Amino acid sequence: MCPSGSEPDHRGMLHTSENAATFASVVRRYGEVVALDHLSFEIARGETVALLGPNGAGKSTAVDLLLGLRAPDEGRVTVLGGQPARAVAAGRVGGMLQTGSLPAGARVRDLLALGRALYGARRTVPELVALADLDEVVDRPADRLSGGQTQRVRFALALAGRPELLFLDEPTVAMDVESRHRFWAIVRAVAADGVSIVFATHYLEEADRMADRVLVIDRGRLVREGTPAAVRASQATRTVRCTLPAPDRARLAALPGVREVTIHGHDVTLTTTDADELVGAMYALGQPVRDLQVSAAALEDAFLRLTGAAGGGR
Amino acid sequence: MTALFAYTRFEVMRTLRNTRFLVVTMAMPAAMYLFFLRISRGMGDAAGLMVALAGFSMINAAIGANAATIPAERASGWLRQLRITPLPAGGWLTARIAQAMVAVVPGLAVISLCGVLAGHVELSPAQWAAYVLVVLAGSIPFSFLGLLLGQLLDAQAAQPVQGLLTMLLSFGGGLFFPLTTFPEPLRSAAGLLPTHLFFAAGQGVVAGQLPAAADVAGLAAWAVALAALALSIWSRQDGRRVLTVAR
Repeated sequence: MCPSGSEPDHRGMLHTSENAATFASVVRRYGEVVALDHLSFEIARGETVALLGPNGAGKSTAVDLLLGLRAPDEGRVTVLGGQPARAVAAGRVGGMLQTGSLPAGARVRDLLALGRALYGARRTVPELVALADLDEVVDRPADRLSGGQTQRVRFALALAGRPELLFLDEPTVAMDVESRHRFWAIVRAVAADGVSIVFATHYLEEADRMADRVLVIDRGRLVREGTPAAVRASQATRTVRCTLPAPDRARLAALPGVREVTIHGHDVTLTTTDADELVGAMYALGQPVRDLQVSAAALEDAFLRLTGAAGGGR
Repeated sequence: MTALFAYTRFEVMRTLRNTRFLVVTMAMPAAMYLFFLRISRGMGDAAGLMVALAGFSMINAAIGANAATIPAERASGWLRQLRITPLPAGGWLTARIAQAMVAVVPGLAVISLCGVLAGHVELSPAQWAAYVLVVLAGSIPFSFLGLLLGQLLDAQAAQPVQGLLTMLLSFGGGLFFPLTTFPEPLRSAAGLLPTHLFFAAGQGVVAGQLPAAADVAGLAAWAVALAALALSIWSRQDGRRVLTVAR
């Protein structure tokens, strides 16, 4: 666990009615196991937020609470200004849940018609077909679709009620690169309509590209929140690569801000919290520094660090 | 209301497209009817036998309609998806029961046809109407039982448990052997089974009597109790695991 992981609880004032969703010091236990440990966060209207966390971090429990499928043991969950179950019952929340195949014995058209009717006919079936790009599959049996097509049908169902809050659980998990691209283009259009979107993903580059903000959850707590860039920067890691004639691990490790040192022959890779100082100090080592490169760490690096899943590299 | 109607229509449509399931509910009881009819050489009660086998088919269809499908829907996440739509719990329950009742109809039709053509059963129109009503209404507690099995069991367990329960209820309720052949403590207990209450009501109807109030009340009590249980589980389950308390 990263020592800087636990944040002071500075969210004393909650603007509940303005938010798409609010978790206020939420605790949820399963017997002895504490799945959520005073989890607090807010999702503003119109925001696109990525929910990140390793398996078992409490993400699924948080989602169940968000969708009104479970109640918190302590604290308060508010969705669209009221109880989650009430917002769901009013059709104001759409969800695309990660699942296997769609029900047998129904065509895609039947499912869309059902979705439309369940949400009080707020959209037409042709509208849903167009929205989720389902022209080719609309008359096919719903349980005989590819992974990407199945996900798009689910997406159409999630949008059937013109939701104000849309939740997507690993929406692109069964998609190839092109479908993934097409899918996020549609999501972007939905977000542009002012819909608040919360999504969970294992593809961190999707969070990086799509989210206004990311929430990193680990062991039932919020360990970091902010824009993808801020979360990356919070770990302040940059990678400095170069070649040195005679790299010395001890001396390199003592340079400013260095966290990790990797040496392969003459190739040196340093992870640092202060690239500017480090580069200056390297030239002062008295060795010719060649092929110098400085790159920002990926969101993935920050994520692994925050959730302590990096394999104890520190 | 439109949500309830749409979901009911959706489930009924899926049931009617499940031809393999429907054929099983028709073929086995029909074959058994013809077999029993043959070994009784015209000496038996063809109408009473029709009620027994219509009951056997009904139990199979009513329990199977939900016990077989719900575990698969939970495993695929479809139940969870439904849970986060505005469909109310009561709507879900109503649709599942309506769907099971529709599943009962093909078997009932085939057995009745066998009764008329092979068993030469002759009933007045009022008796036919009452008999159909008893089978359909009598299916309600069994539909709730199937729903409960679907809620409580996973896909692997649901099928054998459903088969076992169907046989126990059929034999225990006296569909194949009269309860008078049972030893005493068992006989009184068997008399309380919904299968027996249904069978007694059905036998009365084809013999030209009204079903006994006690039998109807007993069936209604079974239906209410099982419905309450199913509803409370639907409200508590998150649709992902079999039972939230069983962890």
